[in-house]
Amino acid sequence: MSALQRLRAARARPTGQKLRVDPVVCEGIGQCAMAASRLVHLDRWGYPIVPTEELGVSDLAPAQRAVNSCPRHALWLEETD
Amino acid sequence: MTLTATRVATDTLLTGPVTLSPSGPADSVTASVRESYDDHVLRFGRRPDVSAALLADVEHAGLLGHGGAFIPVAVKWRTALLRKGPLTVVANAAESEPLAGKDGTLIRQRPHLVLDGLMIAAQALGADRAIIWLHGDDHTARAVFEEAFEERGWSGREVPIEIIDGPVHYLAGEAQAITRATSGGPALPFPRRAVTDPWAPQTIVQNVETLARLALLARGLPNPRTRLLTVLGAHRMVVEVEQSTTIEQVLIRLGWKVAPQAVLLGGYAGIWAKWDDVAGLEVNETKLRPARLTLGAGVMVPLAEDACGVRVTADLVAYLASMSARQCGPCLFGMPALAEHWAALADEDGDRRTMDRLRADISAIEGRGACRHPDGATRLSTSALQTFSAHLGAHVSGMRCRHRSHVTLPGTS
Repeated sequence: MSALQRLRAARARPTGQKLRVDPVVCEGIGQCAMAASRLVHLDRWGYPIVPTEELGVSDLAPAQRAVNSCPRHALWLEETD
Repeated sequence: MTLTATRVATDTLLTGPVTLSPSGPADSVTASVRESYDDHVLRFGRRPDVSAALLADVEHAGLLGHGGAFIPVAVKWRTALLRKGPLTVVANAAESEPLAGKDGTLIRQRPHLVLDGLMIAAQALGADRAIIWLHGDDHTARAVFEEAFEERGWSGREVPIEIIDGPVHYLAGEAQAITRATSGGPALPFPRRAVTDPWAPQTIVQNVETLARLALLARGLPNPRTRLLTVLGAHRMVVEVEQSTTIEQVLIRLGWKVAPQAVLLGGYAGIWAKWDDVAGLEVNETKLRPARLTLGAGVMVPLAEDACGVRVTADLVAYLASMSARQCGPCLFGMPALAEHWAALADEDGDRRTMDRLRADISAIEGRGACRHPDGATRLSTSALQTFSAHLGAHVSGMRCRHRSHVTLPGTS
């Protein structure tokens, strides 16, 4: 395994965390997509689409930024079962 | 009492099939028998006293929830028994799907079996409250239960069960909405968040058919190997059939002479399937699920050969969009978008790009609602795109749709 492959594997290592959004609280303000543009995308009405799968190590910081950026506190990190 | 009469009575949930009024709650068009408390006790004996040990029997019997999702009852019970917060058990009798009538029929014919089931569940789980949750306009059901309470000699403060009228809305029977309403909030769905506090109040919602089956199981009687179905044809009928009955046999029994082109399985938020693909399938959920099919709460709508499935789907999606709780973006914006695309397709105002936009919006809102309501509309849409693909081709290519037979769906305009 090359150094690059090892690095990629390390960054993708599962964290046991998931990014979740409460669609009732969410008002489609869109700060989350700006804070974590690689992780959170907006649908054509401006509401966030968050990854359904478990976050990798390298996703954790942007996910936390998305959580912190929301003026409605609609996002949170949750332990996967 | 003869032996045969006893055998028949404990093997089935209903006392017989009924024809319902075309729409609204499950009010029968002909007089239907209600089992009195005396008859109920004569047939089944008194309600047995139970403990948490009943969980083992429930698990062994493989009792599933019959509201449509078929979640094993034991799963819900185990979670409830692990946690320490005050528990409310709800008998969900709010049959809000406009076509479904099996729960309403069951409570009208056998209210005492349902009451026993609720009391048994509450006792086994050590619940603090037991509630019967009704759809807001189901006044007959309320009267039936009040009469049943009277027969049991329950009055005033001694009544162990509360009856609550929910709203008159498609989402009135959604489990999370009920949970929120019974703890003092509005009867609206909300997204599940993992509960961390073991002392938090909790609510278990069980469908009334599930509870009736529980009442038999707790007495050591077999879980009936039958299925309750509501079928929309010339009339709306509720029948009880063996689970080994095929979909075709059900229609033959109900007097269908000509095969339909397709059938909607599971109700308004259900799945369209071509007739030839499903006619021979048994109405057995454990056999339907591997084929990615489900009858949900036991609803079937056969579509006649000369009816337009695109038009019917457009009506259904418009209905589902109108029944949004208007709480979350995917539902508030996504559902009307789906309805708009389907209306354009049905009116022959759309083209292939309309279908592409429909597909894009389906995948955009799938799984993102606060509850499963938008998912019902996306599933219905996806199955309609497949089932009516040939006919959709005619709708988008400028050929006129020649299907003229009109399908009246309760609740839709």
